Parts: sequence; structure tokens; C-alpha cells
Amino acid sequence: MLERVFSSIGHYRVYAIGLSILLAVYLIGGFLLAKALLTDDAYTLSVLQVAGFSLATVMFAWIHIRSMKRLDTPKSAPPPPD
Amino acid sequence: MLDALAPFYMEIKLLHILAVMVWLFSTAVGYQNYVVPAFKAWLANPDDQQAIAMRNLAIERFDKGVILEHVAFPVIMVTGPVLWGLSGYGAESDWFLLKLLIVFGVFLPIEVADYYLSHFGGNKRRYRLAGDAAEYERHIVLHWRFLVSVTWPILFFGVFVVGLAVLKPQFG
Repeated sequence: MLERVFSSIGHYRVYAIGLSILLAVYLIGGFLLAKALLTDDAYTLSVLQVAGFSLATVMFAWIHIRSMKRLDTPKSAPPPPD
Repeated sequence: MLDALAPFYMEIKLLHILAVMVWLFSTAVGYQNYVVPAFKAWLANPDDQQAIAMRNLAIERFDKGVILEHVAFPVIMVTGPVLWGLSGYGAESDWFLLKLLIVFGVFLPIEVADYYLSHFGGNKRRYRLAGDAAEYERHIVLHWRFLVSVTWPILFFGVFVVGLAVLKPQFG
């Protein structure tokens, strides 16, 4: 099961984008749901906040892809493809 | 019981913060300077016996060294709820809510896998001592895939959670 979860060499883009979207949905959705269930506040996201979270998700995925490629790059070789 | 612990709030907080420091940083030097170079050298020369030996030594020593992190994590998970109960923070605090989501949804699953890979079914030394070369190799590769996959998320969310706890932002 663990082998399925963690990316194999060469599938960085799919893995990182999928993980970033999953994390964004979990954190933002979980936050809004918890606010609705546990407080009296009706919490809505502003356009700026949605834009900010979207940009953060894209940046997170991009850095994650770079991190994985760098770690998987042998000492003296070009980085593997996406 | 919380009443009995209330006078020790600051001491419990100190213990919590120290445990967070150990959890966040205890493997950093070993990982960056021993595990990563050893695996990169092995990736460059996968059939080189010396590279393989260095790789194996690095990851087995990493399994041992990560014990510090894995002692600190339960300390965090015990002192955290105690602090929560004593402090009165709740869902009204945006930073607290987000922090709990990250701790239980990001860190906890990663740590469960980490415990397995270093100490239980994934412990490499066990397979080496049993003479099971195939499983030994499989779990070394699996652990590397895990480390490659979680390095950035741990780095980002680890620092982010500390930022949330210190700055205590409200988003609304």
C-alpha cells in the first residue's frame, strides 16, 4: 500500500499536483466545515483569500516537484523528466 | 485532572515547544548530510558496491537516529491536548483550527508511515539480520520514495505550524 501512495521516479507532476489539491481541499474545506459546525460564525472566503490559496497551492506543488526531482537526481546527472 | 495541571501550564508549554524542536530538527543534519548524499551517490552508480554499502549504512543509521523524533512526537501529542484544555482556545481561533487540521491530517499520517518504515515492518536492519536481501532492498527503496515524497510537505507545514502557534493569526 505504501508503495502505491508514494511517487515513483518520473511521476512527480501528477503526484505533486494531486497531493497539493488534496491538501488544499482538506485544509480549506475542513476549516470552513469546522467553523460552520463548531462556531456561530458563518465564515466565507473573500475573492482575495481564494486567489491567495490558489496561488499558494500552485506554488506548493511547484516546489514539491522541484524538491522531488532534486532529491532523485544522481550526483552528476540532469534531473529526471516529469 | 486539568485543574491539577493548570499551575504547570508554562512548564507543559515549555515541554511541548522543546518536543516540537526535537521533532522538527533532530533528523535534519543526518538526512541532509548523510542520507541524501548516500542515496544520490547510489542513484548515480546503482551497481557500485561501495555506494550500496554507504547507502545501506546511512538509512540504517537514520532508522536509529529517528528514535529521537519518534519519542518527541508522542510528547507533542500528549502535551498539545493538555495545553488545549488549559488554554481555552477553540474553533473561534482560526490559527488553532488550522493547526489542528495540519497536525491530524498531515503530520499524523506521515508519522504513522514513518514509524512503520523505521521501526516496525519497514525496519531494514531486521531484514538484513534475517538474510532477506530482497525485502531489505525493497524497504530501502520504499523508505527513499517516502522521504522524497514528504520532505517538502514536512518542511513547509512544520515551519507553518510553528508560525501559526507563535503569530496566532485570525483570517476573518
